[in-house]
Amino acid sequence: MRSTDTAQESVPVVAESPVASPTEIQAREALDIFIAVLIIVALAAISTTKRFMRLQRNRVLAALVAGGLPAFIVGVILGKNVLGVVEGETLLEVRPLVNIGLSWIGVIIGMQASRQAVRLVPKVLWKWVCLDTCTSLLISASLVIIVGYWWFPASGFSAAWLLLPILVVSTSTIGWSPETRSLSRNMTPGTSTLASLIQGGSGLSSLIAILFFGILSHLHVRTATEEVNVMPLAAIGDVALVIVIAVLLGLGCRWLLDRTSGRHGERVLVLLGILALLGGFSADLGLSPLLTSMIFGIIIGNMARGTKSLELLLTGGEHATAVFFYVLAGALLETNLPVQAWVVILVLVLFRWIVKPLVGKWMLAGVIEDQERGHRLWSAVTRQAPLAIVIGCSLVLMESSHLNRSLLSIIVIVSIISTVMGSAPLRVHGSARSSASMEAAT
Amino acid sequence: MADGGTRVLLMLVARDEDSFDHLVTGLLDVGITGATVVESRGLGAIIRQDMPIFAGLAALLPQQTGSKVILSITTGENVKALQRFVAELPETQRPIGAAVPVDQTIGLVNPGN
Repeated sequence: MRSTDTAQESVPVVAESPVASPTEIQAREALDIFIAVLIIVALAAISTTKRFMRLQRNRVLAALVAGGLPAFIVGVILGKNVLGVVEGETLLEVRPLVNIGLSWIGVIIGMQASRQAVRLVPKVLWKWVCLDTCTSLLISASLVIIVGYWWFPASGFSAAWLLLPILVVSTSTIGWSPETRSLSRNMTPGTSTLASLIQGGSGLSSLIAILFFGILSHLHVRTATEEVNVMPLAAIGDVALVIVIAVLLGLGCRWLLDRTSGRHGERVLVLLGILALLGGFSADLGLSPLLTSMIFGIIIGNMARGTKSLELLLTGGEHATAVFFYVLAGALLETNLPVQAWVVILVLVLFRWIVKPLVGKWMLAGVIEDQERGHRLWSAVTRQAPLAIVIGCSLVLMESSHLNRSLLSIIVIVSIISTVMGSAPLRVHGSARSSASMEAAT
Repeated sequence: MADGGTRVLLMLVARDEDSFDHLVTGLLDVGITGATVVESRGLGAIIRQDMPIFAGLAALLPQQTGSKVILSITTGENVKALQRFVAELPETQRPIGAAVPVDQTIGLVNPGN
């Protein structure tokens, strides 16, 4: 039994125990943010190194890296579920940086839509992308509505409340991954055309996905009383503002580029300044950074001269930006998903695996030969587009709720499964080749 | 680079149309009137197109980046004159290249002109 004296002695010890002052807590939070940003930027920088590029010459690794698998794993390990070094909430504190990343991707996607490229899109590709988009929206929206009523039966949510989940899941199903190198062995002129169509279709789908998500997400308005309303007039106003800002910044960018000497450093400076402005305007006015920057990208992509080097500069950072968002998504991953979320994941994976190639083969029936119908390039169509991860992150950036994190987790898990399933033909093919070589050798 | 009168194989890479345009002027100015021009693509362009992450529409564009390789058998004197010309170009429009000595040639009537 402890004596009274001992108890009395223990009181001052407790009183003297170090309690962090508000200043110390702030400093610790700032340090956490700094370390998190440092780690994630360092990881993104690694993706631009020669060694990393060399690793991607391996076809299986190329497919997995393009799908973000290694970066997701790193994000999960660094995140709250394992090491807790990079907390998702901490990263969301650096919204300006995330907004610049979103703007970077929006500009890359917008710049590809030059008049020359759009003119070269064959009719059959327009039809394929349109049908794929319609099918994706129909299936995924119906799925979210059905599962949504099962998932949240007693929370008194309205149809307006469901709008954002429907939008995010639907947008994530549009299109497919543009990575075809991992699947492009034993190519013929026919399969080369198919690879170009798959890549081109993915690019078109990205444009449609950002337009769809960017415009319709402005319909969703949360009032001061936390009610969710659908306000079409507010959305029209927001979209008009997005266009005005993008056009003005596009003209400003043109003006600034004309005044540079053409040196790399000056162009980088102009680019970073414009991206910061795009991200800043979007964040401050509550606009979609992806939509604003995509429209800006379309404008500068169609300017007569001087933008090619800018495009090269942006696409040079494509992998690093992707890794940034993959790690962020991994760190934000929710592990305790309800069964309803797993149903959504299962249906989306099956949809990608069964319906997407069917739609493509049907639409390209008059263009491709029989032997190309069975080519493993079709696996690219089953993989989720990397843009889906970015859109999921932008949703959590808008509001870091448990539901939004669960939706991001659904997208991440679909991405992982579809990437692994889409890479399966590589392993099968590899072992078949090895067996054939061994038989030939014996 | 090579000495004055020796025959050299000049290899130049112009990274875009603007740079190529200046280079052709320079070649003519220094007296190199025979050269072979090959359309080329940099390794970076190939890697970028191999592994697009977000933008795939470029796959539908013709596979040209504007980059060109120029090959010519000429003299060391011409190469030195060309170096002086190139040094006066803006940094962003300077080609990169090399000149290596040539021991023997086949089919050239008057190498260096």
